[in-house]
Amino acid sequence: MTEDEAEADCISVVQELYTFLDGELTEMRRVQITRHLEGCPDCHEVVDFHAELKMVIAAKCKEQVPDELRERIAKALGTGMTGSS
Amino acid sequence: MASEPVQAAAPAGQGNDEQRQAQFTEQAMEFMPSLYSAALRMTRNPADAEDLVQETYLKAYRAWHTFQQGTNLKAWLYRILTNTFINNYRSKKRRPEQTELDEVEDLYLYRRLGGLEAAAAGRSAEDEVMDLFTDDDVKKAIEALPEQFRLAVLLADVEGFSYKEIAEILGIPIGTVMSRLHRGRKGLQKALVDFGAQRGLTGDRTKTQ
Repeated sequence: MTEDEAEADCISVVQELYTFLDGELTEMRRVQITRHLEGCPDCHEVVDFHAELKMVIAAKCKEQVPDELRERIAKALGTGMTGSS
Repeated sequence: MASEPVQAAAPAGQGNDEQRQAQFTEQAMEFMPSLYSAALRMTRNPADAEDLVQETYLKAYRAWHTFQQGTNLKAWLYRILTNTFINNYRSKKRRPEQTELDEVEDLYLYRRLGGLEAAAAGRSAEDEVMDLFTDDDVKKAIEALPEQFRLAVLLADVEGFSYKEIAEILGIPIGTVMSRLHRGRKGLQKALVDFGAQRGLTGDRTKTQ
């Protein structure tokens, strides 16, 4: 039996946690993991936590572009558009 | 101004300079906030980040005729950003970047926050993570990662690129992307716990060994 055919257990959920969250598993494997999560509250919580962590990391790294930079770039490109509306 | 219908897989930037410029501006400018955010995490300072983003746009504009319409513009811009950073900015402050990340166990952050979360009755893990760390904690934790791990984590977790896109942007095999992400994310969790602990957030739990 190859790894892809194996049923997912708690150990494989931890091992494949981010491949799952990143949407990079094969469809078959994704289904197996999802099936395991439905019956395992502990793993479900682990996955939820890391999904949220990923979102928090993205959300907390958003930066405002300084107007001065927009103007500099527009000028450098030789256009009058500043992109700020 | 009437915009030309764009054909899939046609080279961008056809037509005269004015059309070319309008097309570039229309399509590429919207990515400035995410390029600037990434540039800040890469360079770790606003002045360099601004220069890096400006240089990226100038290079992209000059190379606009090589961009294939219908392909991933964001990934194309990120490849220019990343290459420019690696070639021009990294060398400015050479530091021992190759320091190995500490070996960190799986679910490092989760296990350290588990007790806290249980203590905060009625609160979900989601609220916990969102509130526990400040924007500054997260930014500092990313910036503390050695460069090759920092770039991989930035591209995956902040920008949401696929492994294949990251492999193309960084010019490395997908297996390398996965191992850098694996170790980079563990390093990030460790740094988050460390920064959180500095503010007293995770208390004694981080000190128990």
